[in-house]
Amino acid sequence: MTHCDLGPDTAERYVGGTMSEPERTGFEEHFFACDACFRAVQALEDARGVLADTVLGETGSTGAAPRRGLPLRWMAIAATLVIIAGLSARVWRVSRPGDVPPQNSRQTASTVEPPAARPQAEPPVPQAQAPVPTASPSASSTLRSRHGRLERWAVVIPPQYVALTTRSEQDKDAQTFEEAMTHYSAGRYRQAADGLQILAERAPTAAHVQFFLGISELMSDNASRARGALQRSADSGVSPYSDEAHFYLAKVALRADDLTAAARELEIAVDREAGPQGDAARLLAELRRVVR
Amino acid sequence: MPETRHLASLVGRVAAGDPQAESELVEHFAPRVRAMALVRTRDRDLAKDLTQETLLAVLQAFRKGQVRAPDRVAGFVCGVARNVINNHKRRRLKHPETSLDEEATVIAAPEREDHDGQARRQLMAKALAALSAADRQVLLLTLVEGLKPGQIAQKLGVSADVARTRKSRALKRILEVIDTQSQNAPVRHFLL
Repeated sequence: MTHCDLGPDTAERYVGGTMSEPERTGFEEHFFACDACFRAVQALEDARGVLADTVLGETGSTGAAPRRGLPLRWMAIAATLVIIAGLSARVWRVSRPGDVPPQNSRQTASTVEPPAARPQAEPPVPQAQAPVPTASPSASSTLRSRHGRLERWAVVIPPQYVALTTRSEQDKDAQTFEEAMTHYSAGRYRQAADGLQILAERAPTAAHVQFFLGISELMSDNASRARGALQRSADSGVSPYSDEAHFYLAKVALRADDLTAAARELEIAVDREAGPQGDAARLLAELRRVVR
Repeated sequence: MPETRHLASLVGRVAAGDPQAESELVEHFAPRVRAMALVRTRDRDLAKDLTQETLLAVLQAFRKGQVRAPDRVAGFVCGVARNVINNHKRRRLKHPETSLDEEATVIAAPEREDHDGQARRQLMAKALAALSAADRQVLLLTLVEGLKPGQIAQKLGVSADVARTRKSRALKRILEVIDTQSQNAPVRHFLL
């Protein structure tokens, strides 16, 4: 395992659920880029799953929240006595020759790995880009829930920020902006939002600040703050931020299940050719289909 | 960092329409996204579905060339994954009946990851069985119950130092087993 200074204790606290949310977010960003920590997380999550399976009979989808706080806690000590026998039985069972691996209770019909081919045409919504789905169209269409679709439509791909290099010396606000956007580009949206909020208070009419603040808040799951900042960006009249803001205001509305507001914002986005490569028009068409 | 450069080149190839690059990116990030989703939801099936949601959204962005800072690929994927997971949790709170189960017929998790996951868990079961009962008990209280060493010490009637030592020893041993196994296994991830 490649070495990392963080060590396995950090991964253990992550898997055990004893980290604060900011710490958890920071560690996730770390292990996405750190092979050693990722392997530790994966191994400890496996260990947690095996222990939970043995003690609590967890066999896949439980729909349950993290175990802490459940009245099952008292079982842990007594169950430890059972673990030895349980693990032994499990090891024996899984190693029997010809044993059939447990089947997932769900029917699976396709996989995203590996994609067979690039789609010939741009499909209307993200799920249509799923590589080679093999379920019958009629079955899949009837199975897709309205909420499931809304959930996917509300997913936000944050627009990329490309820094402009200038020869002149940056003022303090420009430096603060660049620092915040360094967090943004690295996916640290909470830190980005905190930095941009300071700037937004100093310069509330700066459309670019309001725009990226709105996106950062959206990615940090603060819909009301995101709406406020994006609306200020939209009201600024400074293109392209005032135009692009409408596409993301639609995403905010979709998260709130406000389809009417989402459609209204998308109409403006389509009119102004905002949003990534025709996404606004595709999303609007799908939305109208569902509303109808 | 070679891996960062490699990932950046993969993103460029995806934008150029290379399906092999898409496969490599999926193979690299799927286990990471899945681990994150599993820790945050404690639901294996849901974690699979959320992983698919994330990968589809990420691939779509890569295909369209929306990621213009390819040296930040890992952070980008992590951000999208968190977004997808939080989005699902929020909607589930609003609509408890909402389930991604219905989507599973259309979008399924990588089967090889399932297979790899089963193999890893079998190995882990053996590693756990080889621990002493006391060490295993501490791991159970740590990972399943989410207790800290002080709380474990109180529960077991031992000192906090003893609980901490047992935990560190158990962690070290199971990670060594997994590490040894992974060195013997075919390489499926980019090495640092």
